[in-house]
Amino acid sequence: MNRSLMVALSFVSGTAAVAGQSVFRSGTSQVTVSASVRQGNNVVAGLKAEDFVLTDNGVPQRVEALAVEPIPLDVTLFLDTSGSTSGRLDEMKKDVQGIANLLRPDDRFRLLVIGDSVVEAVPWVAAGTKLSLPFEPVGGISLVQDALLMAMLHRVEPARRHLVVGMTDSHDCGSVVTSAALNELAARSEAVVHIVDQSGSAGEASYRVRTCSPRARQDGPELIESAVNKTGGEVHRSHWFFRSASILGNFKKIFEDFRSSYVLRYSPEGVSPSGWHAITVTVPKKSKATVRSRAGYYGS
Amino acid sequence: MPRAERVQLPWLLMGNGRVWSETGTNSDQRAVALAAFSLDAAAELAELGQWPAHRPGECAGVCIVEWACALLADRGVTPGVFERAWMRASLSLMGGVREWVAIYAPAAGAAPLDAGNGHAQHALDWFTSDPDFRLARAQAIAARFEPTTEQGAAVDGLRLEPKPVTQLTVLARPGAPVRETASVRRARLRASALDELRELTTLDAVRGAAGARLAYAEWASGDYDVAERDALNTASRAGTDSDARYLSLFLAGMATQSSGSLARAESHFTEALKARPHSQSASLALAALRFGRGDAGAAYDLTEASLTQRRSDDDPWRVFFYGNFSQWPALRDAMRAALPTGVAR
Repeated sequence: MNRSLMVALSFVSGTAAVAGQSVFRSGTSQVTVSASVRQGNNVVAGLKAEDFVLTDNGVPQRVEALAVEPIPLDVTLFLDTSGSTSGRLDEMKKDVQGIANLLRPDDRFRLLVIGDSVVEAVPWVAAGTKLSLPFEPVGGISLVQDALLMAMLHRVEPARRHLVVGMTDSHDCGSVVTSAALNELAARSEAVVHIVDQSGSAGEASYRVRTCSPRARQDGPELIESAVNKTGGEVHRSHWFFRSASILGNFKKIFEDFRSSYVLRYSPEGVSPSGWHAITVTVPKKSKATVRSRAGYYGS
Repeated sequence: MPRAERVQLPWLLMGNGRVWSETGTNSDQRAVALAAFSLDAAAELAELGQWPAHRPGECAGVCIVEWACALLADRGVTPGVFERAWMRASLSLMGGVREWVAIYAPAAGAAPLDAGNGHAQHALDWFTSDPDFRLARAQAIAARFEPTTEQGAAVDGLRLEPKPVTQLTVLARPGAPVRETASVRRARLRASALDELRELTTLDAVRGAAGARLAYAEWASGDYDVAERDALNTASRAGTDSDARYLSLFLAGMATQSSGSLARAESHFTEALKARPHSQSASLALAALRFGRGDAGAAYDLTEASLTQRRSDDDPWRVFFYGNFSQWPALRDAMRAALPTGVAR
């Protein structure tokens, strides 16, 4: 029986920070968790199953299999084309093409943009497809939180993984999804979310009839970053001067990190099958390493 | 036309327009044409991000609208179809830039921020008790004092004041009339706006819009049960107006969700989507609830459908915070169509 696994709560344990791994479905009651292990900017390679300590609701589990697998990716790119970033639209379109070029043949890609609502500008296409990017900026609202949740809510085939990358300044205005809800739901998503920050020097927006409510949250970007971290992703700041090179560099790092993740499999023992399962993953022998993982899943 | 000239156009109109309009034998027609063109010029300012004032003493977009309004009024002509269409269009445009204060209060000068002499009142001076203009004024006041910082999150209950500020306390002389404080005035204004909205829900012409504004104001104030009741009441009387029914049911769902009754909120969102299938705001709200309770499959289906079967028209909730600005193109066209014979369209 397939299990749909959703995950929550990233955590820090000992000296190994668990910030972003991914749990996804397997064909049996076995649970699959992916975790990236980095020391500084370098991937920690060569780890074995016995190097990991994995707990499910606090109960230590035996890692039955470990692999670094070339799993195909579903990549959702979400582009904030609202008034606050619209001055960069032409640059962002070039970025999208550059990012698409980083995909491997088995990968798939879609593009979401913010208009009066969240719009699927490019539906799921195979890597290598020539992209048409006819969208225009829309002022007034900036549905960052809605776009992030919509991006995350994607049914991923068992043999694939879902990566969401947003290019936004994280200033939300007008979303149905509150920042609190986003944080709660992000922790349960199967997707890993990264944001490439687009703050500052937005340029001249061409459409500003509608203006964002002055009462939009001032701490919105911090709350969105918190949600991103809960998926196992992070916010990447691009260099303002070497912008394009910086963004593509960020994406290369994100893809590399995602593709080099360890995939751990275990069959839960000593825990109730149903309900929320909080997972922790640590690598005690690499006390200075950062372990990214999701934090749990819902059992059925 | 170059951007610099587009920005300057409204100022050129205000500087030279009146003299031009008073020249010749067709001054009435010239004034009407100028007023109509002024709205386009004001809209252009907004598109260019130049609507708000950038220097003290300037009021940019609002000034142009008020200048054109005065131009029309000074003709001394009995207002008719064109004047009403012009007023509706101008109020729509002002909503698009959230120019709430100028709709219910004077655009400039030392008069207190009080209802009675803003742009909506000018409309009401011409068209007494007109439901559209009453609604415009009430909704502007309600929007101005909307106390949320994020949709659905009433912050510290009803907060009508901005951040506390240090202020000098002036002791009144014994026997002197007690001056109304700003916070008391705002509370009174808002209460009057809500009363007006309640009354407008009894009028067919604006029932749906007034009911939605009322429910939103109640929800934003933390009166979740009242908001749900009024929203459902509005929905039940929406008839064939699917947008009004959708918006009311969506608001009922959001208010109910805020009260913690998630199952009932799901029900309201589901009903909203029957009125407008695949509309994104309710789809996403419902998907979030279902995902939160572990029904990921249903959440995936809802969001997928809202993307792949996206409607081409505006989601009523997405444009809710801009008055009736979504009708601006239609109202502008209606104004042009109402231009008197002999005035170029």
